Amino acid sequence: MLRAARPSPHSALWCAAELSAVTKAAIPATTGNVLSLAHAAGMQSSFPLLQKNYKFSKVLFFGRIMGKAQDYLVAIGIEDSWLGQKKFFFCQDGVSWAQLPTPTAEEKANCAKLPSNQLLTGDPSFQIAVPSEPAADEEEEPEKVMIDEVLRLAVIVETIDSEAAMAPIGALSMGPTGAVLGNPAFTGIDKTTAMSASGYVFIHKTKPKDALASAAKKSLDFLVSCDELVPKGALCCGFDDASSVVTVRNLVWPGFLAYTMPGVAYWGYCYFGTGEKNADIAFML
Amino acid sequence: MDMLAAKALLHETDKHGVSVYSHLTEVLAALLENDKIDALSSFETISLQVKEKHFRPEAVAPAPTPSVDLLDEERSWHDGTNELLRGGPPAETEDAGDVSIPNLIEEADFLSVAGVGLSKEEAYRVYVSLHKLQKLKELESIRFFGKILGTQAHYYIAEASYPPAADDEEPLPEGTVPTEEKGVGCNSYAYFATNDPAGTWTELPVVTPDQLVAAARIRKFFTGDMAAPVRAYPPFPGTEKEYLRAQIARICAATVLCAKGKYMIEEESDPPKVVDFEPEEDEAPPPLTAAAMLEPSSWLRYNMGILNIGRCTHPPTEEEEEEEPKKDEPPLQPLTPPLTPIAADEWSLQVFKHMGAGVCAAVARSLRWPGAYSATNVKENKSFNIYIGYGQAALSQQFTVQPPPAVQSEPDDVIEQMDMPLDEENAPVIAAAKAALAETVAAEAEAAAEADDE
Repeated sequence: MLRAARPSPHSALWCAAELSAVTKAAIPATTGNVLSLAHAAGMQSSFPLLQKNYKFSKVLFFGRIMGKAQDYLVAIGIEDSWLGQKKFFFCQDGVSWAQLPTPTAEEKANCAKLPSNQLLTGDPSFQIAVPSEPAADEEEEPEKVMIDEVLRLAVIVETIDSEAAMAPIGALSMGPTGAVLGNPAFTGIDKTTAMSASGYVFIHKTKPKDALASAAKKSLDFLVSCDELVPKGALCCGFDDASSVVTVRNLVWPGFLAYTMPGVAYWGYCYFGTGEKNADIAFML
Repeated sequence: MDMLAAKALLHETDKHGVSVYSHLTEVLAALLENDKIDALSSFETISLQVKEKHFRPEAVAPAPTPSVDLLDEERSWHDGTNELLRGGPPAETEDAGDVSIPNLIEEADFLSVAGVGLSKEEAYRVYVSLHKLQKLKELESIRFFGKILGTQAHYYIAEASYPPAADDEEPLPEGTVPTEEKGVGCNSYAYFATNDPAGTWTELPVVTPDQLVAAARIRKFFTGDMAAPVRAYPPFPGTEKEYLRAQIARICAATVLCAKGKYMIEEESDPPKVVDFEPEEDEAPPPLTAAAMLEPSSWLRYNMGILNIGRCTHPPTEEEEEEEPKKDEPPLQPLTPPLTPIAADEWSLQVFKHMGAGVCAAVARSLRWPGAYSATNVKENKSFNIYIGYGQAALSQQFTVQPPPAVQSEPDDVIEQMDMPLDEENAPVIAAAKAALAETVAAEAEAAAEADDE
């Protein structure tokens, strides 16, 4: 019997989506997001170059952040050792990538002060003023703090990645040094597990250390289960019959989509959206 | 086997560096370390524990999945889709004449430049399904409105219109404000929804002004089940089916766009009616340019706006009332006629010039209704509209639930009165008694006088 063509199983990946999952398999198309031909073609040629120039072991597609005039594409470069920090890149045409700055804590705090529903403009050099706190009468007017749009983009990408990035349970393991690696023995999860939030873990949320757990348990069960996301029901699992892929949407970050193919070590996540967190979710479920 | 070979065998390590020799050494060390236990009987357990210390992912990773034949499990979807696609879309007959079905496959391809759309296969399935629906219901026109995402399942929405029907008017649902008739305002089109293009399409009911007003006050994800209750405050009159219809009406009124010079409003029509643009005095309409499409004034809203009362037009008033308008009534909200230019801050406009063959795509994305896209082929002045999203408007600030109605105020205090002083209270009694006494005395005196007279 002929089976639908499946992506060949490969070793589990650290994060984000393989480009082919977004372009060829069109997994984000289930929620209405597709890559334009120009972007897809551009990334096919620019990803290998990015990988070569920065000596990455892999370059993955993170997502597309909407700007009013133009969108930003974001890619992640993964260094060889897995221990090194991952690097984010952005571009607007799919070809000319530039590295995103690493925001400091102060810059993140400044971005948090911006009013909600403040869409990115699409111009990386645009500067937005942080609303200053009302100064006391006798004090001098404090200097206006300006934030570059690139920095805002970096903060958005980092926040989404740290809060929403998820992996199927068992896909990642922790080595004795504490480094998080892909689990070479991962062979995918079954469909029943894949269809519930408890079948996934948040990549960037580690569990508190349990001194009593055995070493073997600790090496695999060290991340917070997605089941613990508040509110319950914010993770929506769905099975796409056409592609046999389970997709998981995170409604706290509308536009975030994780996917996995049951029984195959094929998984990833991506984000298509405005970069706004859904603050109203408590009313919406 | 000589001694050396045997030793070499025991020293052979696996990929984690463990050999029989090193394992035995560790086990013996563990046994000697803990001299309280019975060494012989706990030998196996200790051995296992020692082995577990060496991390082997395959030992603790979830067991490989039994190879489930997905085709067995998902019989219904594959069967249904096969059934749908068998034979392809109904052939377009010559006499189909007035039936209008836009080519969704071309539309999806065109819209993908804006980064929105269905996958090619999905678009084809919907395209075939729309053709079948048109045949089944004998619709005059049908278009793919878009997809509304739900938490459990998604809705595919088709926008259709029936041919002018004979007089079989169903009674319209009643509410505080009269419902718009079929073919007018928010009920201009009939809408069909389905969770699966291979499934059956369900016609959504007409929308009432009450539902429109209530839908604008709540913020709620769809579940994907049309019979699900809408649990929200203020209460929504109806189930998810009605809520879906109300949100479609709101999205449709706000986001269906066309480019300038394609349509015009028929003169002296009330309510305003949109007809194809006819240039005056043989003057061709000025051709669209890519640069002009970056101006909000080049984009027009095709539909009328929805008023606060939940209708596109004001309900007809009684003739007598019109003559003497009540003075305390607030003035009526002005209508938003069709073909009104869009607001600059609610839309993001882009132009893509790399479409080939001189074709240039102008795209408008709604910021107010994320997921609503309108793309215009500038060369041919042809616009495509699609909505793929959660059916929720973006708010300029955080959503706040409407507060519950104010607590009823306490009734006015009863005014108390002082008790009457006892003397005053007794005065009439005393007076009456005195009068009675006087009367008795007088009567007695009279009787005595009469007796004297005798």
